[in-house]
Parts: sequence; C-alpha cells; structure tokens
Amino acid sequence: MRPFLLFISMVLLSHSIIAQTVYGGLMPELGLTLPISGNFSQTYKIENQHFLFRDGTNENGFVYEYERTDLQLFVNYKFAGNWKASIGYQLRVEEQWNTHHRLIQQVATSTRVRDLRLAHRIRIDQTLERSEPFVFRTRYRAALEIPLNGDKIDPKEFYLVLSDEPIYSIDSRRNSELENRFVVTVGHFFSNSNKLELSVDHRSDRFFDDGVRQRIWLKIGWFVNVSEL
Amino acid sequence: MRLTIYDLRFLFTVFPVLISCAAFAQEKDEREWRVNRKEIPQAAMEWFKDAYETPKQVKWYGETNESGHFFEAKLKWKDHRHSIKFTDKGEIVDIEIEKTLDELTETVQENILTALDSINALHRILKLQEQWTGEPDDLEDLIDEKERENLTKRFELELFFRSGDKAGYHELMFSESGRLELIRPIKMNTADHLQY
Repeated sequence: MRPFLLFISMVLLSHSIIAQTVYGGLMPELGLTLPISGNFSQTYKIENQHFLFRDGTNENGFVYEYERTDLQLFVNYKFAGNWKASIGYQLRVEEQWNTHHRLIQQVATSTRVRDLRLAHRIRIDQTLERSEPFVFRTRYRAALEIPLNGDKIDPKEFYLVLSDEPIYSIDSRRNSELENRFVVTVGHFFSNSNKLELSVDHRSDRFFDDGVRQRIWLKIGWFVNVSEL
Repeated sequence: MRLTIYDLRFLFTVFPVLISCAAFAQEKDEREWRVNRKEIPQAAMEWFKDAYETPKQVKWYGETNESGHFFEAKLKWKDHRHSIKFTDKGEIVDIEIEKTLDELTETVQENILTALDSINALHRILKLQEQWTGEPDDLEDLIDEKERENLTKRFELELFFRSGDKAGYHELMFSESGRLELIRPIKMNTADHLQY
C-alpha cells in the first residue's frame, strides 16, 4: 500500500507543479543487459519522449507532441568487484527524421550503506548533430536506493530511489549550460532479472539565463538483465 | 509499406509497454516483509514479553527462505539493535545483537582481523552481529538477567571482500574465539537501473 500511496503523491505533486506552467511529458524506457563474456556485458536502451503541456488556447487544454526516440548501446567492463566502466553510443531520432549522434563514456559503482545502496555515476558525452555546434557534457549522478518492504529488497518487493544529477555542458561556440535532474522513483523488484519503475523526473536548466526552465517527466521504465535469468 | 514517423512513434510507445506486461510472471525467492504483531505465534510473543519487558518500539517481520518460514522481531535495546528470530511455531531460533568491532574483547578483535588479513579482505566491516543460540529459557536469561548459561555465541560479519578480480559482499561466521568458520557470498541485486 505504501508504494502505491507514495506514487500517487508523486503524481499529485508533479501535477500541481505542471499546473504552474512547467512543461514536461511522458517517457517510457526499456533497458536490456546481456552478458558478452567474462567481465564484459552489453546494455541496450530505448527511450522516447512525449511532450505534453497545458495550453489555454487549445480546447483540450493539453498539447501533445512527439519529441524523440533515443536508442543506446553500451559495452560494459566490470572491474574491482563493484565498478563498471562503459562506453556507449546513442542515436537520437527526432521528428522529421532529425538525428543526432552521441558518444558516451562512464564509470559507475554502488556501495551498501547499512540497508541502503548508494550508487555513483560519472559520465561524459559528446554530441554531434548536423548544423548544430558540437556539445561536450560532463555529469555526475548520485542515487540512493531504499527498500520499502523490510530491510532489503527481495523479489516481489518495492523500493524507492532518490537521485540527483547535475549536468554541465559546453559547446563549440563556448556556450555553457547547467542542468539538474532530480528523480524520485518507485520501483518493483520482480527478480534480479526484472525491475519495473515509475519515476517523476524534475529537470531544471537555463540557470545562466533569465528564468530557470523546469520540466517534469513521468517515466515508466523496465529493466531486464538476462545474465541473471 | 511506407513506414512513417507516426508508425514508428506508435511502435516505440507500444513496445516497451507490451513487454513490461510480460514481467509479471516470476518465481518466488527469499523475502522479508513487515507483519502485524497479531500475526505472531503466541509462544513467540510470550517469550518476547518475558525477555524484553518494556521495549519502546518493536518491528515484526515475516521471513521465508530456503529453510522455511520465520518471524523476526527487531528493536533497539540498551543502545544495541537486536533481532530475534522465531520459527513459524513460535520457537526461538537465535538472537542477533549488532556490535562494533571495538566492543569485542581484544583477543577476539585480533583473531578476527588476522583472519580477514589471511583472506586479503578489507577491514571495513559493514555489519557485525553477535549471534546467540541455545534453549529458550537460557536465551531469556541472557536478555533479562544478563546471565549466560549453556549458550553458543558466534560472530556474523558482513563485508566487502576482494580477491583478485572477483569481489563482492560476503557473510563471514566466526566462532566465539574469533576463528573463521564460514564464508558465503551475499547475493546483491543488479544495479543496472542505478547506472544507465
């Protein structure tokens, strides 16, 4: 019951913020991790964004726009037990078949803090898009995983994840940008190979301009790990 | 057939949602969950009330694992976290008391650290528990009379253990004198959802 109430309050909270003309939308995502051999594994992700915002001039009240689809591929190398280094590629497809390419490098680790789990991710990425400046981004994410049933997360139990990720970007025209992503997630742990998550992702950016832009994305994500089946 | 952006959009949306429905059929494994004190077997509740007369706050859990069904009481008692395990019939299985390494006698501390060195384990201990087993009456005396009679004491440690390229969290059992008796890996849940 607790996870359900928590999610309802997350949705209500995000709804009240959306009502104050904060933009956002829906983001379904699917992640699949497969073994390669030894310490190597591969991760595929597909994610898309559906833009929804309130518009007083529209008779339905809401405007819907398809935003984009991201396809990601990572090759991961596990080392020193709880560390993972990954290199990745992302293809983004926007409307009108606008595409852009992104190269990603990251290291991630997770440690237990009593009954909680704290994960860190350091990522840099480079984005190439036709007729747009080259963008370099550096980002760090801390995520805290909290069991909601008992001391640890067992199969068929719920968990909560709080994460925050500041992202600094600079492009080839020397424009820099700061973004922050604060995410509250309620997840259901079916088994080690299977997790379903509902999240509210609060993104704020344009800190260097007048007026910070805020967006709220409701995410539904499914994570599958075949090496654990 | 010409694939338009609209078809693609539909496909990308429906695909993740459809597959997530398939995620609901899964096997049962070890688990622990909160239970109401009314569900606790009478024998367990009686033992508990005799031993811990007026505890401030007790959390009761149900647990199933490969050896069966259990109930567990968790509470803070005289500055230590206690966890008391009962069978589903209400018979006490053990008492675990969380300690820090420096609360143990010096000899035991030394023996444990030497054992950790011998397997190249880091000294950073995540959790250390004294585990007491024995007859229900003797266990009760341990709590309410601080009296030890016919009881077995062991130490259970959880730590991150690295050997070569293999590393992970392990549970280590030590005898009362600090002799390493058992090492077993603790299965950690995958962290993909925290890393990508």
